Amino acid sequence: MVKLNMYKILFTLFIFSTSMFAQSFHFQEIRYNNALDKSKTLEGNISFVKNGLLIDYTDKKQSLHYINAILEYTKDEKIITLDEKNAQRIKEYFDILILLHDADEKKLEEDFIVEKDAQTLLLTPKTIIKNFIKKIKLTKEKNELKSVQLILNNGDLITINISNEIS
Amino acid sequence: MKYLNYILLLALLVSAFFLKEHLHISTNLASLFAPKEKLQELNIANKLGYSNDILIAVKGFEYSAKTTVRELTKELQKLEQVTSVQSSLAPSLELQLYFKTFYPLLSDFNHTKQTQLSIHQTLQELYDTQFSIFYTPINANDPLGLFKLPSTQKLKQGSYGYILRVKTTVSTSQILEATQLYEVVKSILKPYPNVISFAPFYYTVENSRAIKKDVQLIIVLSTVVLLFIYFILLKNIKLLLHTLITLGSSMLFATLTSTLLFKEFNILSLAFGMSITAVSIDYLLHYYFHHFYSSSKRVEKNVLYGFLTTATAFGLFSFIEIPLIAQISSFTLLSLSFAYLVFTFVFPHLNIPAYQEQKHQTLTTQKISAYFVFSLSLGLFIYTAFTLKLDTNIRHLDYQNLNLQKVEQTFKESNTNRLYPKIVQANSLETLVFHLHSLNTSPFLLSQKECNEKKNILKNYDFLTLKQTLHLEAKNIGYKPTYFDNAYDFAMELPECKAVTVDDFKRFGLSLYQEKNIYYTLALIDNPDKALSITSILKNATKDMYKELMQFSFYVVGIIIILLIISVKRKFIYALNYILFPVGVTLFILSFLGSLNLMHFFSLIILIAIGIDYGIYMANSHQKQRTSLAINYSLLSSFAAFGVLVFSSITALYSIGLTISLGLFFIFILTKLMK
Repeated sequence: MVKLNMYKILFTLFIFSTSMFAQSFHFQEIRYNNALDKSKTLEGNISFVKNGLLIDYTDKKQSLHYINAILEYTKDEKIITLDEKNAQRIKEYFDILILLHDADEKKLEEDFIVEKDAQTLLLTPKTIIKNFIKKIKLTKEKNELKSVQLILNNGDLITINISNEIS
Repeated sequence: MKYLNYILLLALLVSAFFLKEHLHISTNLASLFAPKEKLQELNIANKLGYSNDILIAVKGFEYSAKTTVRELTKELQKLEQVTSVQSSLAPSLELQLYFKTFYPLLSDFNHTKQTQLSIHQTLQELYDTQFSIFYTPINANDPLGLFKLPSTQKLKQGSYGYILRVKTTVSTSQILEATQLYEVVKSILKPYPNVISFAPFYYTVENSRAIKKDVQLIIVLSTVVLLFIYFILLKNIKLLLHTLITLGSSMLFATLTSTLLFKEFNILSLAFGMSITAVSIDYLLHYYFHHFYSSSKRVEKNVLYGFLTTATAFGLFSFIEIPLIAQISSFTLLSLSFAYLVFTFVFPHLNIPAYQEQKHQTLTTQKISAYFVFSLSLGLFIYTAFTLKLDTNIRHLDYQNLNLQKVEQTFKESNTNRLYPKIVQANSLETLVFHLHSLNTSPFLLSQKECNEKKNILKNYDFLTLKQTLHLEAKNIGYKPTYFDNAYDFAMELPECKAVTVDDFKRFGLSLYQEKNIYYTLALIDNPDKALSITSILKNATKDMYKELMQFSFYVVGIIIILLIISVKRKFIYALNYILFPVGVTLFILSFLGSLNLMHFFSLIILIAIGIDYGIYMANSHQKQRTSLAINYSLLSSFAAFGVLVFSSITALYSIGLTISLGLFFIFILTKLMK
C-alpha cells in the first residue's frame, strides 16, 4: 500500500472544499476519526482569494494561507512555512477543490463520476485520489452549497457545514 | 575548345546527379570542433535526446493555469515527434500503480527492531496529533512509519508558474524536423498568451532564419559590388559569364571531391570553402590586365608561383587535426586548383575580348621602404602576441538571439531543481541500474538483484511479533481494537522480482540507447562538474584548436617564406610584406577592439591566401601600374565575397567581414605606399 501524506492531501482538499462557498464564509467542520471512533468539531472563516485560500480557525487562534502553491501556517502570530515535500500531490488535490469551487460539471466529470439529484451532487473519484477518497457529497439548498462531506477510504468522515457569508 | 568551359560545368553537373546518393553534407557542428574521443560521447548524448526536450511554462498558479497545462498536455501528446509530456502537476497513473505494487520493495525500510516502548511512543504521538487543527490521517497499514519512499527528482517550478517538459525525437542538428515541430508547437501555444516555451533546437530554427535573411542581404550586396566591377569597370559581359561558370564549376568540383573524401563533410566548411574560391578571381584579373589571353604564353610565371604558394599553404593546413580547418583547406586546395587550371588553360580558347587600356590616374605618394614595413609588421606581431585575448566560447559566434536567450534565462530561474545530464553506460540493464543508483538517481528503478536483496530483508523481519505488540499498545492508548488488523500485511505479501526491462526505463522517462551490447542512458545529477557539458567540451576543444592553429601557422609561414624566396628571390621581404603587414595590422586592430574568436583566425588564413598572390605579382611585376590595377579589381572582388560580411548581424560572419575588410584595405595601402 502506498503511504502518502494523507494529512496534506486531505487538508488541501478541505481547503478547496470550503473555498467553494465563495468569498468569505463561516464554517463548521466535524471530523469523525475512525481510528479513535471519536468526533471533533472546529469552527472558522475561509476566504477564497486569487491563487489560493485563507483560513482562520477563530476558536484556535490559528490560520492557514495557501497562495501560489505555498502553504503557510500561523500559530500565535508566528508564521511557520510548511515544507513542500508533497507539493506535487497537494496541487493535484488543489485542482479538485478548485473544480468544486467552480462547480463546472464538465470539468468535474474529467476527474469524477458525477451523480446528482435535486439536493445533492455525489462525486466518485476516477484519478489517483480514489486511493484515499471514496466519495465527495455536496449538498445544496436553493442553489447554494450548504455542506461538503468527504468520505475517506480509511473510514474517516469530514463534514463541512457552511453557515453564512461574512463578506 | 570554345565550349570547354560549358562542357566542364555540364560534366560536373551530370557527375553530381549520378553521385547524389553518395554525397553527404553533415550539419553536425559539434563534429567540427570536438575532439574525436568526445565526439562519440556527443553522438551518444544526441541519440539519448540530450537536447531534445521542449520546456513550456504556464504563467501563474491559478486554476486557469492548471487547465492550460492539461489542455497543452493533451495536444502535445498527439504529436508524432513527442515521446512524453511530463508536467509539474502529478506523476502518471501508470507510475502511481507501479509505486503501489512495488511499494515495500521500493521504500527505504527501517529494519531496526521495534521495542514495546518505541511502539507505544509512536502510537501515542500519532494519537495526540488527532486533536490538532490539522487533519492527520493514520496510515493503518504502516502506523509506525517504517517504510519511506525515496524522494524523486521531479520537475519543480519556481516563481513563474507550472512547467511542462516535452520529450521529443528532434535534435538541434535536424533542421527540417526541428522547423516542422517548432511551427506545430508554436501554433498550439498561440492561443495561450501566458505560455512561453524553450527548446535548444529553437535556436537552430530561429537562428537559421535570421542567418538566411542576413545571407540574402549579403548576397544582394555582394552581387551589386561584383556587377559594379564587371559592368562599370571592365564592361565585359562574356568575361563575367565565363568567370561565374568557372567559379561554379570549381565549387562543384571541390564539393563533389570533398564529400567523397571526407566521411562527414560539414556544411560550414562548404560555405567557407565556397567563399574562399572567389580568391581565384585574382588569377583571372592578372591574366586579363596583362593580356595573357591574347599572348602566346602557355603559363604566366607569377600566377603559377602565386597559385603554388597558396596551394601549398592550404595543402599543409589540410593535414591539421582540426576538422573545420582541414576540410576548408582541402576544399580550397581543390577549388583553387580547378579554377587555376581553367583560367590558365581553358580561358585562352574562349575568345574573350582583350582588355582595353584606359587612362588611369597614377597616385603619386611618398614610398615607404619594404624593410620599414617588415619591421613595423614584426613590431605589431610582437605587441599583439602579448596583448591578444582569445574568446573560446563557440556560442558567441552564433546569431545573438536575445529574445530566445531571455526566455531560456526565465526557465533557468524558474526551475529550482538544477540537474545536469551525465551519460551512464553498462553492458547490461541490471548493471546500468546499479550505476544509476551509485549516482543517487532513479531510485524507483529496481534491479532484480536489489529487489531480491530487499525481499530477503523483509522476509527475515518478524512482522508477526510486531503486529501483536502493535495491537496491544494501540488498545492500551485508546485506538479502536480492530483498526490495525491489516497492518504490515503488505510487507508480507511481496511481488515477484523481475529483471529490468526497456519498458521500465520508458516508464520513468529515461532515455535508453544500445550500441554494440552496451547500454547507455542519461542520468540527471546535481553536480555540474561531473555532468556532460557540450559547452565545456567545445570550450576545451577550442583552446586546443587555437594551440594547434598557432603551431601549424608557424610551419605554414615557414614554408611560404621558402616558396617566396624561390619565387621572388631577393624581393622576398617585399612579397612577404603582403602577408605580414595586412595580417599584423589587422591582428593589432582586432586585439585592440576586443577578444579574438575562431572566425578571426580563419579569416587571417584567407588573408594569407590573398596576400601571397599579390606579393608575388607585385614583386615580380615589370608593369606595376597594370599589376596594381589587377590587384585593385581583385581586392574589390574579394571584398564582394568577404568584405560585405561586415554588414552581417551574425558574429561569425561579421568577424570574417571585419578581418578581411581590414586586411584588404591594408593590402591596398601597401600597393600604394611600399617601394
